[in-house]
Amino acid sequence: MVSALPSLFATWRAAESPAINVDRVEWPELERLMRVTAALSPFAETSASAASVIADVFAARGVLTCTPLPPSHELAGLGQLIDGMERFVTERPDHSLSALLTPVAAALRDLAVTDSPVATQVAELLCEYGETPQGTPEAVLVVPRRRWVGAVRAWLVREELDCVDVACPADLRARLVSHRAAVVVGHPATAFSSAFRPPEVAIRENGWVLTAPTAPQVRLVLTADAPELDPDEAWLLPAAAHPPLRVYDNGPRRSEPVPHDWIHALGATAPAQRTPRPAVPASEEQTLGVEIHLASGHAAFFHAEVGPRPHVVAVDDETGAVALSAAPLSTVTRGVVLAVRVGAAPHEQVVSRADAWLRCRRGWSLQKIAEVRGCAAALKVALRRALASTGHTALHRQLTRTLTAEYARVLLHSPLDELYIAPQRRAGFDALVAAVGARDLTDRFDELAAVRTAHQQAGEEIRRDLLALLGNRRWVADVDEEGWAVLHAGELGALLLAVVTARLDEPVPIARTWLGALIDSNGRRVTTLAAKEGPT
Amino acid sequence: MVVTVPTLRLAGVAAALGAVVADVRCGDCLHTRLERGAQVTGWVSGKFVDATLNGLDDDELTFAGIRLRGNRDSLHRLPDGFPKRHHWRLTDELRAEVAAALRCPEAVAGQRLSAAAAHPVVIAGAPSAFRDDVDELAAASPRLHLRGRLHAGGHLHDWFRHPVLVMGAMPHPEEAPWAKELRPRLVMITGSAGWVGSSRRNWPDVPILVLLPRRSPAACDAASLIGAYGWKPPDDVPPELTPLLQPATGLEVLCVVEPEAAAEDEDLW
Repeated sequence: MVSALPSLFATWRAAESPAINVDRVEWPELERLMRVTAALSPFAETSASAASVIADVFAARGVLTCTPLPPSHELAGLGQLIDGMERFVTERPDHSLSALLTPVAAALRDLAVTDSPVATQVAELLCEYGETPQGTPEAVLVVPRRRWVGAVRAWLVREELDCVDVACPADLRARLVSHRAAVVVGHPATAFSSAFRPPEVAIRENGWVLTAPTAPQVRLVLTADAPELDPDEAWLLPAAAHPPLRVYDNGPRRSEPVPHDWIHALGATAPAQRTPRPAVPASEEQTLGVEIHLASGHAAFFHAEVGPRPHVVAVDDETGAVALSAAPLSTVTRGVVLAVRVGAAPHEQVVSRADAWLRCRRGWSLQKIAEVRGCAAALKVALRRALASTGHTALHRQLTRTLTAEYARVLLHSPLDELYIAPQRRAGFDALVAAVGARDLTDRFDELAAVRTAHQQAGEEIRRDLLALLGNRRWVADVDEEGWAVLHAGELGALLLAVVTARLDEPVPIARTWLGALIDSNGRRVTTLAAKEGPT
Repeated sequence: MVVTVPTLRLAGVAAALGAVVADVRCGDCLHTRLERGAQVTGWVSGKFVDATLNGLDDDELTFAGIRLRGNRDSLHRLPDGFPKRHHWRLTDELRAEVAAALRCPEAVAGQRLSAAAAHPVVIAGAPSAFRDDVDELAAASPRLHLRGRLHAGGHLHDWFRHPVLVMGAMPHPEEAPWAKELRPRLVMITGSAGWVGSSRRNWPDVPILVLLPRRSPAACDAASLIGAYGWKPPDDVPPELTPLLQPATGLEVLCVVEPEAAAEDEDLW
């Protein structure tokens, strides 16, 4: 058997101090197209036509700057774009956009007949590399998107560049170093970004092409107007944790490059609109929620401290493992994949499984379970009464005699949540029952802790069931390409996996029962979800 | 300590290898408090045995029907509630590897292994990959005797029999409440799945080494979570350690302290 050690050591060595060289190319026709297209940006939010043209131009730019394909290639779509714009101008000559579209169409026509300087540079670079002594290619050409790989292979054949590997990053993640050089085309922040994945997330997720490269030499081909490559953006941890990473970028560079955010904003649709919210009836508890928009067209609301926590899904490409974990609300940003359960009663399921655990593992009777659960309810009632009679300030002062100010604040807040059972720590529990005068609960900490453990066990059991469902990873392609997928989990209901498309940070008043629930665009709670149908 | 690596391959093995050769001194560890009637574990008559300590005086111990004299560091008191387990023998091949790794005669390899396993390295994440890496390195460098040095058990209840315990995820304290009476020499979490699935509440005062592979998007999420939870740099790093904790040679290195959780919500899943 051949040992993998040489390739393993090569992989570690390649990351120690990779040689990263940026080769920039001038493409005046492409830059001109960007300039004239920028004039459309003020209209993008109000005109679907303007937004569509801008999105199409940037899609074309993506193909031209991230592959060596010529402007005439069908993947760039310039011909269709020109036809569409000419039709618009011909049919609506007096439309206010026509005057702006005319120079865009002209710039596109000029661009369409040029040769790609990216292709020239890529070909030159690839010619520096040949065959290893084992007869394998010394260079690998990294293409950002899988659907471009076939076209790039065909281009390599046409150019008679027949000793080069082609791969997209997903193919290379688990591969050990076996090439001398990786030729990467396009700025990692924009090459890998999409409507669901903003540039700053894209470069962190794919920065490994520089920081854990698939070859000791990385040759990056950028256009002159591409933004500066900031190595700090490519790492996972904060700046102080980064080892040195030198990038040799000899230009030429434009003083005003096309910024990431402009590129991205142009690809996005109109600003997120608030989901309509019915007035909260007097009989229902009201709370504040941060609105999260999902690629499936739904919304979900979360509170940082109250109610269900958001659950995120991630796939570890290296181990093939799928992770499903509760996450703090602050981490739920655009690009994250959220998992939301629909058509089930999550709390009741946890309670039912927790009760079974207490009966089986602790030998508790139903009566005992009910009695201890009653203690959790009694603690809430006692706290509510104490807050009403003694006041928050006096209770807080009393708690801080033995607890930190932050823990005291949490203890006066969290137990009011209907899902809360008891403080995590005995010191907190003792201080709270003393402060709210619930002396009869003093000796019940251990029993309440057992109920909390039962709930955690039940939650873990359900999480494991759902993870088993996610394990086949058939949903990954749907989420990657369309932004969402639905899985059916029997008695656990349906599971929506959807990319977060927007987060409206200003909390708004909602019914407490809306927290963690899936809400449709009409402001109705979603109770059923069919696979790959729109919001119900 | 969070360290990002180009690949998880060899990372866990390299870190574990460093940890197993470090000197760990037992102070007032529970496992050293031998008392008549206590449940103990050790190597006797060619196998690892858990039994009651029947006799104890200055010169000898009576255990599993055998009287033992001499060094007592290979006999450990088990914590209350420690699971019942079967006797276990080293294979001849493994005994030779252990003896070579611990530089002792094969006849006492079991005792020395038992002594060395008082404070194992506990690893969560990708157990089979860890074993594959040990095999790969051992085949390439037989003189390191890695199969003996890093012979791994698969559960916490394999404690005192292996220098390394490697499992998919670290169990919650409620699943192994006796484990809090023991102390690993190092806790290591490899990969984001191990990170997400592991409890960090078993040994709050034992540092955790988290190894995240940079090529994995899930590792990217795990790193974001650590930032979002407000983990802060420690304020009491010994000065002699500071230069060793600097990021270098392609490794991101971050030392942080997990904030004490103020409250834990019910998990709705």
